[in-house]
Amino acid sequence: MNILKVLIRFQTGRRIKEGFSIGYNIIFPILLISILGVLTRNQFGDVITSYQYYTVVMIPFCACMALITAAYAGKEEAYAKTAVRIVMAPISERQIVLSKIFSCTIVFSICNCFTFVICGFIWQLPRGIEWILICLLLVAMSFLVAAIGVLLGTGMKNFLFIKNLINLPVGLCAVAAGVFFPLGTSNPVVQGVLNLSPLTHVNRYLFAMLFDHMKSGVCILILIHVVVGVFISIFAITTFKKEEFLHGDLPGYKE
Amino acid sequence: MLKEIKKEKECIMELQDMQKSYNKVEVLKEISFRVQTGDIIGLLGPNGAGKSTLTKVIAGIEKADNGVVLFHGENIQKNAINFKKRLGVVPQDIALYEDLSAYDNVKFFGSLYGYKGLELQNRIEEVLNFVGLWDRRKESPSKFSGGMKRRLNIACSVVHSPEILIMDEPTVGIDPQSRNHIMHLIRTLQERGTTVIYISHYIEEIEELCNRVIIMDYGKLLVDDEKDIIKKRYYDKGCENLESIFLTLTGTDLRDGVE
Repeated sequence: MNILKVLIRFQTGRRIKEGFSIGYNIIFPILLISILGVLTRNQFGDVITSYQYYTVVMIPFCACMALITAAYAGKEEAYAKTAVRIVMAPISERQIVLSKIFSCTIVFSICNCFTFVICGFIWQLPRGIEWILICLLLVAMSFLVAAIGVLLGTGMKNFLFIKNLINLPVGLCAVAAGVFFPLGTSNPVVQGVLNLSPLTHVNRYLFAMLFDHMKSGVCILILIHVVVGVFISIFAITTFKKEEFLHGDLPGYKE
Repeated sequence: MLKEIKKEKECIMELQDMQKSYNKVEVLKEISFRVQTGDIIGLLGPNGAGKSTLTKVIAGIEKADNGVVLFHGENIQKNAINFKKRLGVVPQDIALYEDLSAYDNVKFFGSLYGYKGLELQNRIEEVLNFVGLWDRRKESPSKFSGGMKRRLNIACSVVHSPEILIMDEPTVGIDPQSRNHIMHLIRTLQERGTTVIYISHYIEEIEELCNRVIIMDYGKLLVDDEKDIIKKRYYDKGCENLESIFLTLTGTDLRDGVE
């Protein structure tokens, strides 16, 4: 337990220091919300402003983009060539994987919640919204994203392949969830396709809670994220491969 | 870290019939040898001899297909964590966080062995003094010369006072002064009771440092004996030094295609 704490503290420090999370989960969403908000400000009615819309949809999307940061966290020791020391230290594989998942969860959660609170404050989300519940959802999303990212990072050698593998489905899910432009359709087939994106459900339940005060959907989402996150964490531990953890493959990286 | 752990010579580690294959190519063929406390064993072999694989198997990075490694008579697989606590490995590559200070590097790797607080601080100070980097402790390895990085690499590997230390080419690419300093460090470690398995292509280092020599090629153990006994045995065959013995046993053909 003590070693796990040491590892989590160390990994958390590195996640903060490397700055990816601050860039992708704070600066990037705020910039996108500002730009898209300005560009589409005349296309929204009185119920919701463009800034409010993009605040709700952009932050969960950026939370998902942290998959790349989590995958990098899984590969970091391979690039620093310190993985060999970690593997030879009296640490279990479980501790290696969990330390990475927990440290990513902590940093992603802080960044996502901070961005949501700041954006919600600046662009005045409806009064009386359940900040805590939304932050819990962002924490649960961060946990799931961290688990998937670390699973990919510790299980695969080629980081660029992982990055490309992540970018495409996350991008498609974002489009289907109306992250870049609102989508509305009465066609059940198209709606069925849009529903395939997990982000569609996240956004739908967030809007339902923010504007219609329906909390149950968000509560179910939190539960689903945590349960799936736990299963993926277990999967990441059981499929951990020393060989993949030890070696990385980046441009400029030499074995 | 530098406390004396000298003991009467006893078998600290034993390898029995180690076998390992990659894609049906046998890289370790029934390797067996014993390591005694206080030994400095020189492990020699051309590229592709199986030295790195053997190191990985001992360190638990890879699993052997057959055979066992006994540490104090106990199979290391049965209590891997306990074995890892008492094993130190100096990797061939510099295994340091370039963005952390020398102090923080040693601190992190020391903390992985369960040390904390004052005990950890004392160990860091001792080990950094030992490798001559205490005055540069606040600097990051990115500002260090090759020799300093190598010394810090050693410091991170001995902060937990390992009983047995595997050093994989710890003097590659450094100047003679740094090499001389590292040789001195290894001798000091040995005098204080650490058993060392020293892997190098620099045969003169093995000749200078080691009391026992193991020569491997194509996954097979060719020679395993006291250095002086080996030299005496091959002297009559016209081999005046370890290098000529090595070339006699492994041949003079280039091993360009082998890693």
